[in-house]
Amino acid sequence: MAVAGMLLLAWPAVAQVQLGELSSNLNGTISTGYTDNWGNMPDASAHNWTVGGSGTLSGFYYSPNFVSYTVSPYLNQSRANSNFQSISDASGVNFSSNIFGGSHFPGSISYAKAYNSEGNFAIPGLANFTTHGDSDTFGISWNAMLPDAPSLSIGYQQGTSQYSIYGSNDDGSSSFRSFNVRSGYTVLGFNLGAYYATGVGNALIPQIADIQQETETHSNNSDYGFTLGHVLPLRGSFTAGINRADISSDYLGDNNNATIDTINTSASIQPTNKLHFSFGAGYSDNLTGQLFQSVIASGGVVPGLNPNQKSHSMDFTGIASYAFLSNLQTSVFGERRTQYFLGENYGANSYGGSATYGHSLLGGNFNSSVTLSDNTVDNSNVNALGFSTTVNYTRQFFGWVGSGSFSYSQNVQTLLITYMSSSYNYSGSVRHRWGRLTFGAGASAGRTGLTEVAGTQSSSQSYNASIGYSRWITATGSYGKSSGNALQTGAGLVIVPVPSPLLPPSDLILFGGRSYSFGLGSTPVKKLIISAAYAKSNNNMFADSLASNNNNEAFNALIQYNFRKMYFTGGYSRLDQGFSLSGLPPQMLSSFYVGVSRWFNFF
Amino acid sequence: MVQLLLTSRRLRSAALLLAGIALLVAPVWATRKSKDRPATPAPPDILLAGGRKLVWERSFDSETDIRQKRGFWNKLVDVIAGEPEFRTLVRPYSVAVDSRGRVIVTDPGVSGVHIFDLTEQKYKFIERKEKDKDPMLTPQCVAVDAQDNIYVTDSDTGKIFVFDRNGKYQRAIGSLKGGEGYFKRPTGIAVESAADRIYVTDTLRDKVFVLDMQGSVLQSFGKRGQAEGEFNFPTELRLDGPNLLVVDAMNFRVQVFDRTGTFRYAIGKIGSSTGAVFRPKAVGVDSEGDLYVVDALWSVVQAFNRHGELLYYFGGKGTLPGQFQLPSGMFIDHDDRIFVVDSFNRRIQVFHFYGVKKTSKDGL
Repeated sequence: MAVAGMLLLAWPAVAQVQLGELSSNLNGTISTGYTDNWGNMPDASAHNWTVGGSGTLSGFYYSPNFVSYTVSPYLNQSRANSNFQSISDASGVNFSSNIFGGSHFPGSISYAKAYNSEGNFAIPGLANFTTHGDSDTFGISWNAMLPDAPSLSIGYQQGTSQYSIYGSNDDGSSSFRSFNVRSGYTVLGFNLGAYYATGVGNALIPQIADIQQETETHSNNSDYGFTLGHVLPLRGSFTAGINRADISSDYLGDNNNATIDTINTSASIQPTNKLHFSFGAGYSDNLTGQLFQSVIASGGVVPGLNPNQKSHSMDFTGIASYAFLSNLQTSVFGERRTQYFLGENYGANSYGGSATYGHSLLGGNFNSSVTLSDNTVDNSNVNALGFSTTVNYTRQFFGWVGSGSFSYSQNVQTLLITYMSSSYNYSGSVRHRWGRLTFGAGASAGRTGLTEVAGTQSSSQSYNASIGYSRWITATGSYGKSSGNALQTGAGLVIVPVPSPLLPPSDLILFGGRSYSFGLGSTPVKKLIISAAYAKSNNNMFADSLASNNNNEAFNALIQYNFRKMYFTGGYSRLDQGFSLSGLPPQMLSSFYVGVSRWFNFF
Repeated sequence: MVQLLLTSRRLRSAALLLAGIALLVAPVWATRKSKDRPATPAPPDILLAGGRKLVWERSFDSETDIRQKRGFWNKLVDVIAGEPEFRTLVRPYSVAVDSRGRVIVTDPGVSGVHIFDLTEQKYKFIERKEKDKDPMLTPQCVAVDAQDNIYVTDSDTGKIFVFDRNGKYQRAIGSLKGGEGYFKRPTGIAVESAADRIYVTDTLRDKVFVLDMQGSVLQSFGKRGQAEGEFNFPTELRLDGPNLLVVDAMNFRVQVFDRTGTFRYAIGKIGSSTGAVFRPKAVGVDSEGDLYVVDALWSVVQAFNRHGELLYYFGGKGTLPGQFQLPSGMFIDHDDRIFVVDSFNRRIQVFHFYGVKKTSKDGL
C-alpha cells in the first residue's frame, strides 16, 4: 500500500503536464517526523513517527479564462512537518475553481474541508482560547453580465464546524447556509437594483462561561429590497432604497420573529468645487427589530426582547460642507430623529459643525478634526453638548520616528435616542535605529460606554516593545488588558453591538483579563531560524451569578534549517488551558518534535 | 516457511527502497526534462566589407548556463535535497569584462551584481541590500580597474561601491556623514588605473565628475544644454585611448571629450531613419576604432566610424537569438567580443567582430 502511495506520488513527475486541452502544475511538500507527546489527560501520552504532505495542483482547461482550478490537499500537517504550526495533526483539502472567467457568465466554486485542525475561541482584546476540530465550507457563485441587459449575480454558501476546547469537557459547533441573488440595470439614466438574501445559522455554544444556559441557538434571516439611483444636476446624485427583513431566532425554547421594513433616501449636489450639500432621510417600521437584527448579525441571539412590540423611527439629515483651503474643510449639519418604542414617543434634534485641518507642524505632519453638536430631546430639559475630536501627529526627531493619535467623543447618539455614548482612544509609537541596534515601542488604549450609564463600559489597553540587533537577535514583548460586556457566540465572545441595558442581564457576560507575551528570534546564519515564544492570558467571566476563572498559557520553541528544498525542523511546544467552571483541572499538552520536509516541483 | 517470510520481507523492503528512490529521482528528472530548450537556430553571420564579419556566439541568462557539469556527489545531493536555486538575470542593465574574461553584469532587479566566469565556468553574486551601513540598492553601471576591482554606481543611494576581484566589499565612494550619497544620480562610470582616475556621470546634475581613487573630486565638467560640451541627462561612460565617450541621452548623441573634459567631437542625431539615434543607452569601441551605440528604441546596435557615418547595424526587436528587447548596456573586450545586455529578454548576448586590427587607437 505504501509502495503504491509513493509510486502514485512519483507518477505525476513523469506524466504529461498537458492532456489535450488540460494544462496542470503540481508542486508540494512531503514530510516525515517524530513526535513525542505527553500531558495530564488520559491517552495524552504517545510517541509516533508520521508521514505528512501537502500539495497544490493548479491549472486550466483550454484557457485560464475558460476553466481554471486549484486543489490543495494536506495530510498530517503539524508543527513537526509544516508551517501549519498546529498542535494537532491537521488534514484536509482546499479547492477553488473559476468557470468561464473571461465570458459574460463567470462563475466560481470553492470547497474546503479540514480535519483535526487548530482553531480559536475569541476573547475581545485578549489571547484567544485554543480549540481543535473539523470544519467544511462550500460556496458557488454565478454571474450574468450581458451588455445592455440586467446584470444577475447568484451565490450560495454553506459551512459547518465542530470543535472541542482544550481544558473543557464541552464541545461547540456552528453551521450556516446562505443564498443571495442580486440584479442591476440602467435604463433612462436610472440605476435600478434588486436583491434577495436568505440565511440560516445554528450554533452549539460551549458552556465555558455559563453552565446554566441551554446553549443551542438557531436563527433565520432574509432580506429583499430595491434600490434606485439617478444623477442630479450640479454634479449631484440621488439614491433611494427599500428593504424588508424577516428574522427569527430560537433560544432556550423562546421563539422570536420580526419583520422590519426600512426606507432610505439620500441626495447630494456640488455646485462648486468647494461647496457640497447632502440630504438624507430614513424610516424604519420596527426599531426593536433593528436592535434584534444587530445582535443576530453579530452571532448572538436574545431571549426576552420582543421584536414585535410596536415601534418605529424616522431620521432626517442635512449637511453642508465648504473647503476654505485645500487643508481646511468645514461643514454644518442638522438632524431630526423621531422614535416610538415601549409606548412612548421620542424626538431629538442635533445641530452642529465640524472642521478638518492638516498642516506641517514643527517638522512633522499634523492632522485633526473637531465636531461639535447640540443635542436636545423633545419634552425634556435634556440638552447635551456633543463633542468629538481626533488628532494625529507624526514626526522624526533626532533619529527617532514617532507618531501619536488621540480621539475623544462625548454624547454621540446611538441607535436609540435615549442613549448616547462617549469614548476615547489613544495610541502612540516610537522607533529608532542605532546602526545594527533597533528599538520600537507602542501603546494604545481605549474606552467606550454609554454616557452616564454605569456598567456599560468596555475598555482595552495594549503595550508592545521590540529590540533587535541585526539578524542576531530580536526580542519582543507585549501586555494587554481588556474588560467589558459581551455576548457568547459559537465563535467566541463578541462585544455587545447595541446599548447593553436593552438586553436581559442574563444574556450578558461580564469579562475582564490580562495577557502578556515574550518572544525571541534569531537568524545566526542564513537559512537558520531559532525562535521561542511564551504567552499567558488570564480572564474572569461573570454570567448568571456564576464567576469563572480561565487561563491560557503557551510556550513554543522552534529551530529550523533550510538546505535547498529541504527543511529540518525541531522544537518543543506546551499548552496549558483551563476553565474553572468545567470542573476539570487545566489541560496540559506538551510535545517534542523533529522532522524533515522536502519541496518538490513535480510538473 | 521462514525462508519464504524472510524473502517476502526483503522483497517488501526492496520495493519500498525502490519506490523511495523513484519518488526522489522522478521529480528531478522531470524538472530536467522540462528545462530542455528547443534548439533555436543562430542568426546568420553578418558579412562586412574587407572580409570583416560579425558572428553571434552565444547568449546566457543564468548561473546554470555557465556552470560546470556536476559531479556524482553533487548530483546525489541534488537528488536528495533538490537542486540549488540558481540565480538568473532579472533586470540586467550594464556590463563590463575584466582582464580574466569574467563578465560582470549589474542587475537593479535583484539589487546585485552577477559575475559570470565563462572560462572557469564559475559564478558569483554580489549584494549589499541587507547591510545596515551603505546598502547597495540600485546598481546601475559597472567598470573594472587594472587589478580587476569592481566599481558599481548606485543611482538610488548616490554612491559608488568598490569590490575586490573576488567580490569582497572594499568601500563606498561618495558616502556622506549620515549615510546619504554625494551624487544625485550616478550612472556611467569608467576607471583609468594608470592615472588613478575615476570618471562618473551624475545624470541629474548633467555633469561628469573626475575623482581620484580615494573618491575626492578633482574636476567636473558639463552643464544642462544642447551645445557642444553640454548635456541633457548624460548616462553611460567609456574610455577609449585618450578619449572619454559620454552617452548624452536626451540630446540623442554620444559626445567625445579628452581627459581634461575638452569637447572633441560628437556622433548621432535624432531621427527615425537608419543611422539616427533615438534612445542611446551604451557605447563601445572596437579594435578598429569604430563606435558602437546601443539604441533601445529600435533595439539595435549601430556601428559608426569616427565621422559619424553608419557602417552597419545588427539586432532588431524580438526574442530570437541576435534580437533584442530594450537593450541597455554593452561592452567590447580586447578580442572584439561584443557583450550586449538584452534587458527585457533578461539575457546577455555575445557577438564577435572579426576585423582588421590596428596597432594603435589614436582617435581623431
